[in-house]
Amino acid sequence: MNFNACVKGFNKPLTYRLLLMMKLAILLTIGAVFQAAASSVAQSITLNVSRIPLSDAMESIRQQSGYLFLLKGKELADTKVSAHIKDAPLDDVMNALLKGYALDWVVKGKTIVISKHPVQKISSSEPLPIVNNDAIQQAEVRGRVVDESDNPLEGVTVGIKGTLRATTSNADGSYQLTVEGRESVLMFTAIGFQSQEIPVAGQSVINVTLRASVSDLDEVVVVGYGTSRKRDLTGSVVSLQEKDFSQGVTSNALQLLNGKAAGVHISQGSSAPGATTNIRIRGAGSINSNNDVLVVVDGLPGATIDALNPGDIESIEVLKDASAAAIYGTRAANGVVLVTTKQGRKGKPQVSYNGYVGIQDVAKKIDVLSAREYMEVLNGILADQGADPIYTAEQIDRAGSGTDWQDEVFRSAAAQDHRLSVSGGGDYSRYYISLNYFNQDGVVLGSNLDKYNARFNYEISPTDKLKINLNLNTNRWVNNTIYEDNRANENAGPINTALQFDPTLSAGVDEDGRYLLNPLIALENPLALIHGINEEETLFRSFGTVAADYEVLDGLTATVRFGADFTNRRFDSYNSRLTQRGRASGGIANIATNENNRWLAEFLAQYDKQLTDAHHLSLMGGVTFEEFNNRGVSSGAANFLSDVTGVDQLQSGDRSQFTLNSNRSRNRLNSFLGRVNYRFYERYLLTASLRADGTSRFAADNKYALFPSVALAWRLSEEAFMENVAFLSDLKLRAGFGRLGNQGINNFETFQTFVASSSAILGDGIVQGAAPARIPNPALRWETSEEINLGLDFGLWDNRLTGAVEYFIKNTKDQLFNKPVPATTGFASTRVNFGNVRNSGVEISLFSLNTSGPFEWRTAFNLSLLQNKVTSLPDFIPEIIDGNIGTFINNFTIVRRGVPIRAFYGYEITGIFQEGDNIAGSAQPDALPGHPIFKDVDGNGVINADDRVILGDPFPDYTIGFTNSFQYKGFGLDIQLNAVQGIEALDANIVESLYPINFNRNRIASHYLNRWTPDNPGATYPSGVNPSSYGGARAINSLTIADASFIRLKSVTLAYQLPLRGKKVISGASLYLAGDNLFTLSDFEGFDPDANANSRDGNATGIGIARTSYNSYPLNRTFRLGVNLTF
Amino acid sequence: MTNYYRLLLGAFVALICPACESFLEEEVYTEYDPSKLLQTEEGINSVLVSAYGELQFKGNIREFNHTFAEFPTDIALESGGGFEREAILFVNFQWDDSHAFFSNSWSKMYRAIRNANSLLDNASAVTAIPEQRLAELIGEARFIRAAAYFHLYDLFGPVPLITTTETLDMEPRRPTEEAFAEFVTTELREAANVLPPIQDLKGKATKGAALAYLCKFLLNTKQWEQVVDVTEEIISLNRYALFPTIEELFTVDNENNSEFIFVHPYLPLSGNGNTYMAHAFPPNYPVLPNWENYGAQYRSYTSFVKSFHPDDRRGLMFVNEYTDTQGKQVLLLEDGAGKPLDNARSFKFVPDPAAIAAFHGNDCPIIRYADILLSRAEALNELNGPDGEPLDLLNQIRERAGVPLLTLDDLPTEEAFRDHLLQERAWEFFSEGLRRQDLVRHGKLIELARQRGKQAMPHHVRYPIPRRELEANSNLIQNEGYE
Repeated sequence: MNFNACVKGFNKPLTYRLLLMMKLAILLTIGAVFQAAASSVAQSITLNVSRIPLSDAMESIRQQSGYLFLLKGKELADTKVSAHIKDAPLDDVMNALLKGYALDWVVKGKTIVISKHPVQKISSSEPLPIVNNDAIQQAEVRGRVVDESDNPLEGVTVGIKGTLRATTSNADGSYQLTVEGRESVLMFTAIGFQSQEIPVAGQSVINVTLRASVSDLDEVVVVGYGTSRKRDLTGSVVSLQEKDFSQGVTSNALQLLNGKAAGVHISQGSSAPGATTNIRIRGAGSINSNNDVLVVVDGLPGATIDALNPGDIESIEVLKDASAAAIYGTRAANGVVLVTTKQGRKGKPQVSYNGYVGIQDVAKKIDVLSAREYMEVLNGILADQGADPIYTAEQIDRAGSGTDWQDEVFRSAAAQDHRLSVSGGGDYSRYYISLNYFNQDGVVLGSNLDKYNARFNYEISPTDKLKINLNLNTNRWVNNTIYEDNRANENAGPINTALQFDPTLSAGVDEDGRYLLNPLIALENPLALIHGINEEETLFRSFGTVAADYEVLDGLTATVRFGADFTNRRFDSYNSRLTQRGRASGGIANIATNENNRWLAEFLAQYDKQLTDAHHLSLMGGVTFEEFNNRGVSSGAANFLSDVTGVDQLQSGDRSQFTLNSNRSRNRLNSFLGRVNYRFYERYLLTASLRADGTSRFAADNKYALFPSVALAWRLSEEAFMENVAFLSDLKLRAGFGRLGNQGINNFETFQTFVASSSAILGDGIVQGAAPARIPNPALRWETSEEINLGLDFGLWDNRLTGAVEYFIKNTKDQLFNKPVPATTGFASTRVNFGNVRNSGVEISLFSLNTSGPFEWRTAFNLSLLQNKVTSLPDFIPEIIDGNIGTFINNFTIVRRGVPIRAFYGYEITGIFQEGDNIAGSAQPDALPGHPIFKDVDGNGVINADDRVILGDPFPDYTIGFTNSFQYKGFGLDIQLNAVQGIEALDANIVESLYPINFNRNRIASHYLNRWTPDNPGATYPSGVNPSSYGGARAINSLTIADASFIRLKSVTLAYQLPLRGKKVISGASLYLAGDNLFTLSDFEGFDPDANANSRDGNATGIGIARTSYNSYPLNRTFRLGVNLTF
Repeated sequence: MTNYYRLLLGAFVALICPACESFLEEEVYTEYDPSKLLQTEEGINSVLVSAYGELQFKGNIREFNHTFAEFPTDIALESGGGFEREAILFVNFQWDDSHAFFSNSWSKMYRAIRNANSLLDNASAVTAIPEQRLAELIGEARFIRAAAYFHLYDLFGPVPLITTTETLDMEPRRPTEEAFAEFVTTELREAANVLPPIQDLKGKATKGAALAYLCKFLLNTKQWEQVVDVTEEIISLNRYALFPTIEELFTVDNENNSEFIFVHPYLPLSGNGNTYMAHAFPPNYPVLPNWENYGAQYRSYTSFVKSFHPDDRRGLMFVNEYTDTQGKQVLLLEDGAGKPLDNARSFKFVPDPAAIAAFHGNDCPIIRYADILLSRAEALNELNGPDGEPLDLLNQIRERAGVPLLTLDDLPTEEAFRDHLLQERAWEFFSEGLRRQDLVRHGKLIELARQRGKQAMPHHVRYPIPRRELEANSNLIQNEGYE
């Protein structure tokens, strides 16, 4: 199947076919894997009353638990009850309260129903119980309720269908109940789990396994500065629980979202251990500023997601639209990701261990010429240009395949991950403690990551009204990286070098212990780069929050939160004499250290009140302060006595070559925020928020700006007129609007300073100069996004199929632009606000339970369609052409009105000149047969810069995540497929293959085994004869801008739940075998269509939007064997 | 509306949190407050250094001295490396106004001008500096500014004259040739009046340097009488002389000589070295372990190398064949059949044994005394013909080169002398970035390029004003032929 064709030209039939295929798949596999984590109705209630009316007691319980109550029979209200209970679960309280009375109770939804016991009168609206009057027999039924992992479920309501009689399971999951008659049916219900009905049919023991429910609208999700019931959400929020997370070998928790949420595009700059993960929510809005999301960990904005143990994460919420994210104001422009870590639960300590070992291999190599092919191709090209061959026939015959330099630098590598946690709690405190060790050897020799993480979450409630929360995380990370540099020639990194190095040379060393070189190639030996350069990044990161919630009045809670985040980074690099450069300098050592610390102080108040049956109101307001500090020092030395001291003795180097730098900066934020949530019955919902954000970076007049939002939702399924639509279990319409900011400017841009710059060489030394830093612009203000979001949430057939459809338009205006100014001012640009970018799109999420019962099959599917377009640009910049990668490849992107940000811009190749063509009369009169034909777009008979066209863009037309999970007995199978379609990338490795920097370099095999020659006139690729003569300057063309669409089998996990007997020590155990990145369908020639060299190249422009593939660290295919144990 | 909103917001903030505004004050740690920095002599000096830093070609020597100045001429070309993609445009007369080399060079020179203007705007307010010293500082700044205009003029013709940083002119116009020439000559003259004859540090402006720049500007604008006057002045400073052995003049050991009037010093340090040789070593050339050999190759035309007199010591600076690291004999000048290879290498900047990788310590002369002598010869010839002093001056250069002296019989006419002088300058100044301006002055650039088969057009004598500059400034008019 040619996926290239279906995207590039929007070839309709193929696109249709693909969509049809997907549709079919959805229809076949409608299902879902959405479940809640809540395991039981574990409310903590205190009741100390003597002989008060039942209705008063219930009111007190309502206030503490949130449950409404219904007394069946007016006389019940006056029943005098007593209870002396502290911090007990609801069911204990209710049982104690009603003990000795002929009353029974049951939870229905959010309502506690109390009625006379046994039930004699049945209200007419409820179905009649099936009772065989002839044979009423009372019988005792007992049993045990467990979840899918065989953990006992406490607080499950076990009721008799058609009656109000019910009981709840206790801590070990067991229950007992008296039934009347053989025909009775038991109903097992618990929040977060699917209800089950089981006919008694004469059994006296009924054991039940409850499955986590398909969709639970009572599930609590975290939103900014608070929580909300899922059913009450008005904005676009994706909530993922631990069971939904994407699996794989990763050090980065954002990878857990990969392919799991519509509109959230996760990609990785490279597959190196510890490489950063890029996340884009709903495209990219900012042309020149940061497009990164804001990550908030347990209320701490901007926390480092790398420094988390993914196993500590309870849930991840993605606030996608502006109405949900606006509460985060100036940093929410690109969406917000809220991470909530696990908390202890009341009960005896629970110990759990999760671990895996894995083996990784390079998923795909790039096919370059073998030694023999290389010799033949070089000779062939030389012959075509009338030059003498460089290899004799005899040499070619002896060559064989030579050295495959990729094989020399790649390897199979191990990975392992161990997570141990202990959690539990008592009446006054709860704890969660975890340790994590992660180790990944990279598939490129010399790369390795060691990560250690410890977490301590502690909650203490000294009094009923006060709750103190402490979350601490500390992380140490040691990353040995390969030398990754995209500069040309001897500066290039080992992957670039491995692709282009001479395959006829052996991989060994010569008599001096040096790796072999071919000086005609001007490249370092790949193994010399691997073994000769050591780079190590050591990070020590700690962050945490401490928060106190105090209930000032009924419904009014005040919160104080302090948070801090400290990052210490040290980067060592040593370039030894194994490399030419190291030899020339006698060894080069560099050490850079950096210290980042930031703190946060928040003062919040929240008021939450059910005013009447109809009106529910919740208010939140507060003020926050944040400070960001950064200090660093770096030093370098060269020319050491020996390589053995590495970076550890800089002072033994040559003093005249010492380098030293330091830096320091600070900026601050101050915000005021408020939010109103109003609910009218369960039908109409309103959320409105306002944040005033101030930054130290703007001048006095523009320091503060307002970021409002408003959203409405209407739950149609609660309306009376919808009652008869039987298949519809839930339907909600949402509409929201919000404004977000982006403060992506540097410090001091609003006033003039002088900076150390432009050193001069005077005499025999370098003298430091100072020069004005900029043209200041005191009028700078926030870059602002405004977004409208429309959503429809639905649940069908008892929520067996649930989903959401969303549409959004987001305009990012007042873009922070570097306005080019005449260089006669001495400056290239000044920062101004101007321009607009629009992102719009549709997102569809579906979750379905296809089959239930012993064989269960669930499907989760998400699709996002995105359109990104620059809608206005300042008139002083009709277009921006830039982008660079490596040393010689530049000006490949364009920002122009009407096209996506940083679309690819270059020459279209329409064919290859053949012998006999009228070349002299063409637009390229100097061309030779075998040269590419560039399209003369303006038809003026000359090929020049005006003939460049848009060749693609870095945004996918659509992305799909598709997960199927199967359960049978103890087995579980989980298959995740991701697709990214309609996205292009500059493949800089193709540029270097088609236009080699150096004739003797090796090249990509397909380009030269099918090159044009007079005997091969139908070739796809040009002749290769003196390539710079046919467009080295036009290297950005339709051959080098490549389709980067792909479909990937992201992961397959087969798990088995071990049947345990006794459960004395181990209460649960499961084993799994997983495979990651098993295959990728793509026409892309590079290692990984998903990798983006621009996101990791410090010199590259485009702020992570521009997409290039260049020497990317190859993708891993991984197999993992893991075990999960609970004690 | 916006103001009300601001007011409201301000009132709100002030009401809720009176301390918040001061919480958001911006603290500067690593940059300097101009009002304080420019009050001190150290501060003024640091601004002067930054002006020198921009004037010095440093990493851009490749563009200024080679790509612009020699690849479009009859003496040198480039191939190989990723750099070929850029260089080939200049070898083949295919550049256009979007090429980054133009905007980079333009911007660099205007940064030098900006930094010099910063000093000039503020210097007079500094009371702490003695008057004499202050006058010298001002002289240096005016020298740097004029030198930057000299290089801009060489590439683009008259360009906007910016003389202050106090008002930002976003749409400056190009001056006339006359106004531009008037400004540059006046500035250099006044700088020469106050600059000291010697400076403590090599690379700083001296009286001789200002006069030498003035001489070269007058020469290129063919103001022959003034050239004669200025060269007279330079000679009578009695500071400068020809170095006896031309082939050793460009070694690191001899860089403190009395022939270099103004130099850009280089050091064997990463980022601060002369990278010429890394481009000139042929492939597989047996280099020292601390020398780097780039893929990009600076080559010389065989016809040029063969034009040297066999005794010419300047011709010794070419490598025409060598034994490579694998023991293979490689021919660079001509192949076995006598076919020109155009691949000889100028080793004028004799490799620095202490170089680090590509970075050699050889200083790069911008103007040397030999150029002053030949400029004087050229001007005198234009005014009075070759007889007498012009021939003497020419023969001083030839004598040092070890080639036979010439007589009026050899160069009887003004025209013959002029043509020979152009050739003599090629032999004398190859690899020093002067060939293009010499050919332009003699009106030969286009003619010779066409003889080499290039599609050179008359407008190619000037480079185009960078496109980004035209886009940013609607008052700027493109050079003829590039519109």
